[in-house]
Amino acid sequence: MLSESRAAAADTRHRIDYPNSRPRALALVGLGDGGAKIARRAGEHGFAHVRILTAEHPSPDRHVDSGEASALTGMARAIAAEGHRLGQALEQADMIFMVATPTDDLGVAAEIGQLGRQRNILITGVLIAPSATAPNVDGALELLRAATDMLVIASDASYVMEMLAELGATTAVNKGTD
Amino acid sequence: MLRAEQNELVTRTGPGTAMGELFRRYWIPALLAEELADRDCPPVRVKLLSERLIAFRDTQGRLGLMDEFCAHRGVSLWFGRNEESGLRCPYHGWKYDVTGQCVEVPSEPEESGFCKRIKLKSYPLVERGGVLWTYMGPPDTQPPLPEYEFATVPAKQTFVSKRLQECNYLQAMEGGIDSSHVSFLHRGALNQDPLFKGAKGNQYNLRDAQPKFEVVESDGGLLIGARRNAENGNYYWRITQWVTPFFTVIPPRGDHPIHGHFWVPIDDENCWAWSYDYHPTRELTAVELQAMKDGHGVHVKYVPGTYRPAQNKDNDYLMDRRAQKEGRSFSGIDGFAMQDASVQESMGPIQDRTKENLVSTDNGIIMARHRLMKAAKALEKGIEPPGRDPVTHRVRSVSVILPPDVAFKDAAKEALKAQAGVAHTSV
Repeated sequence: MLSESRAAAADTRHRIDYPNSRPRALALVGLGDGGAKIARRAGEHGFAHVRILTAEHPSPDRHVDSGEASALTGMARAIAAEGHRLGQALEQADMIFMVATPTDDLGVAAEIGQLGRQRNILITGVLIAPSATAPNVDGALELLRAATDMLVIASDASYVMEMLAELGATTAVNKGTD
Repeated sequence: MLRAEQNELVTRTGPGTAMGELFRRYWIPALLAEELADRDCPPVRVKLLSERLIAFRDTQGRLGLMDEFCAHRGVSLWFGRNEESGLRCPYHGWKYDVTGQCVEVPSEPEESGFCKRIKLKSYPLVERGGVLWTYMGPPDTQPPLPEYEFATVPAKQTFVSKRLQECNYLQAMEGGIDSSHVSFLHRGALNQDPLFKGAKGNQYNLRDAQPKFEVVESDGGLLIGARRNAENGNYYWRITQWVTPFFTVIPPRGDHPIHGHFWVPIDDENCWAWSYDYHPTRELTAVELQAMKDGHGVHVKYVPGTYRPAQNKDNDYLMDRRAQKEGRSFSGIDGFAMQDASVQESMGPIQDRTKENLVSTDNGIIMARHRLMKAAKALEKGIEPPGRDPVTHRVRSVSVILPPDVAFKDAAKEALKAQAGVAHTSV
């Protein structure tokens, strides 16, 4: 027997106009100088529910905790501290994104990947490269691939803003389900 | 989620729209060659990008595609007589050649030259690979003819069909680049359909319903790699090609032919889903051809005398709830093509993307939208869009087992190019 509603099956004019989801918490981590710059630019968009973080690789002589007696090198110690800070920041995220350019230092990517996996949060890596054959792309991809569940290579940074908006980041213009 | 104005931008393809202008920069499949098989055969109504046109093959075998309506009183030339190198309106006898030029106005003295002042808008119509292609953009920006591999291999190696899909082109096309739905919507069909079954790759698809994705921009569009676990720590990769603005190649399975689609807007609420199957190195077998004609694989059975699928929204796509309950079909709909069409048409004539909730694995869809919108905006500034150069058409999709430490775009680089006489890479 055919459905009585078949005639209306493809008519969505009367679709209920009521939010079907709650806002999701997104975290965008800019890796390295290039990634951080893109992340900050995304921050200027005024997205609600998007936490912008930067993980510029700390210099080896940057002692984040000078009193710590440990065998860690300055670099490793700094990474650990970064990881702790990011871990706290990412705790509440529903989706995590890492953005970088091919020349960025991606030393923290693995840490973030591990944090995501521990918390069962899918991580998307976005590499902004003018072309897939640009210098350093392969090395950057290798690091990001190991640390992420989904990888995107985009030719311009505007993709990051568009992706966040399509995945639920809202602004005053795009109010969505707020 | 798109904002309402973005959804409008990316879904409207009529004259004067940004996306319509973009689409008018490409060769578009307009008809199957079989629709205008003979000289002086009946004309065919064609609606493309919200323009009503009439196509005919004249006495000399020349192809014409022009405004459907007579310049005199607006009669549809579908009622016309295709005779003596022109299409004649049955109302008062005005006659047009394949360029849309009026060549006879019987009520006016021939010496007056009146008919020379009448010309219907027309577009080129060219036969290639069993398809009649048109170009609806400015003549001075007409690109070279398309070189998609299915249209360039010998005729016995290829099969093309089309079906009406009653929804906007974009939601249909987005299904074509969404590799993650295969493990659900098409579950069951993978091991039953004669044009899919038996491939080892099917088992990887069915075993691992949480593929990891990599989306890479290509010169013409996108490469979407879906990675699933295989034996010994290796990965089974399925790499889909999308070429701007609406061409897809589905990763192959075993030695089955390669297949894919064009998603061509008829108007904003209907599209033609073009489907092709071809084998790069051998003729299609009689069994394969019969399966395609019978509506298996990416093809469908029709309402007789039309290109409308026999399973359609008016009969609930002949949904079989028992098959669904008993696990013989995940969706209860028979056949790959209508499994896709049923869910896509259910989204409405134009999907309201302000209400969707995409997830990170939808990045292929997000990137395709991004590239379409970017190309449309760039075109407004005079920048020609990607996917027009025939080099970008000569691509293949791939299914392949790769070690875990290898990037698919590098490892499969050669396999992703269409090379005459070279077998496709397929698991």
